[in-house]
Amino acid sequence: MKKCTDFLMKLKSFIDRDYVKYVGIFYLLMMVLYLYVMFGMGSEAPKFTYAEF
Amino acid sequence: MKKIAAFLTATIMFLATVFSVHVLAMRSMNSSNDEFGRWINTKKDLSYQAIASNMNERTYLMMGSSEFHHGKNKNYHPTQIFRETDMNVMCIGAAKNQCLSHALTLAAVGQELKTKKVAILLSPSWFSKEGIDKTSFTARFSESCYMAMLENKNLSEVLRQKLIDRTGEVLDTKMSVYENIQRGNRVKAKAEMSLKDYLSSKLHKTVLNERELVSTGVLWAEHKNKTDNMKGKGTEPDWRKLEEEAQESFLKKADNQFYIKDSLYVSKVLPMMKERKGEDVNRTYGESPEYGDLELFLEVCREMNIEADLILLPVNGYWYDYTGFPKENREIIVDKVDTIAKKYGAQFCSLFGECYTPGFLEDIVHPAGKGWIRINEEVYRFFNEA
Repeated sequence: MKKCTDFLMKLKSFIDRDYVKYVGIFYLLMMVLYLYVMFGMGSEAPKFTYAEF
Repeated sequence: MKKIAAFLTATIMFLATVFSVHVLAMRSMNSSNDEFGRWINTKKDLSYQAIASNMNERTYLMMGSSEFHHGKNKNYHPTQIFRETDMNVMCIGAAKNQCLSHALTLAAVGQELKTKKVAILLSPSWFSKEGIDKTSFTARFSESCYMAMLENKNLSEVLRQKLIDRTGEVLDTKMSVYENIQRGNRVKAKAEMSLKDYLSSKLHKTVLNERELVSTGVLWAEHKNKTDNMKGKGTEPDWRKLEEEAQESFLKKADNQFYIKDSLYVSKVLPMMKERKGEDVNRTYGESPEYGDLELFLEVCREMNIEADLILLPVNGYWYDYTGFPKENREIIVDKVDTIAKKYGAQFCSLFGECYTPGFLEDIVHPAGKGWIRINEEVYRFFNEA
């Protein structure tokens, strides 16, 4: 029980504002890259135009 | 130390997110929902997984091009008509999809097509002297279908090589997709390649499959929520009654020399009339690489024991008289397609005789209500015959 409490205290002191900020930044960067790969890549789709007919 | 720990935490969160998205997209895609086939969307058309995993023993394939997108919410569109008949008709195609891209798709998914029937709407405009241009073909090119075609054991090596060679001729070599398929070709040919190339190919395939799964899955989930997925009546429509209604409604809105829908005439055709007058005097449908691509499509059908119905669409005869496109140079397409159909034992339905039928087309090339009714009637007949 005491070890568990000590661990939680250490964890609490480690997870400070800076830590959360960096987690957020890294996660956001990864998600932006992921979303770009999933949805952003690919060639421009040709549109239909009347002029070619 | 803190930054490293933060990075690791973020990575774990990211992997958990990616895994959740993967599972949700997978569940969304394997929906066994007839509405999927009626969903007109280019992401779906480009995804081997999306098409193959949503084909069942009742799925028929209908392939075409811009006409699918150009009126998809109208009552006479095949997606609406076949919803009413409760038939599972999967529509594939958008502007610039032509015979070669459909041949590759069919070569990929053909073994999943249990009904063994495909109807293809042939637009005469495909049969230009130049055939399909590189930019358009590349934009409509499906890497995953191409890769599946390479792995299809039911294709002969001769036909596979023809598809590989023809794709190599028309794919834009400046695009990265060209490098990807060359690598795929080397893997298929078990050619000597470096470990880096081999691993690169495997990684690319994984990313490609995941990208298709997620992008199509998300879009499909969004679309599915908007449809009510009601079961249709399951009976054959009264085609003549529908045709009469369509014709009556359309002709009131097409009061010009070309019988084009007035709003399109004013916004799209009128501005280019001066420039286009007499411009097509040297034009012909008589020579085109597209005929070779049509033969490739039918070779795929033959090898996969798929029956094909070639439905040749008309063009606006009044318009092309105006632009000086010689009539005999237009009409030649009928005999040429008929000859190819006979060579491969395909059915052929020519609607080219409707080039001067007011109300058949709503513009220069796209079917209006009457046109769609005739097309859907032919498709219905073909899919339902024994």
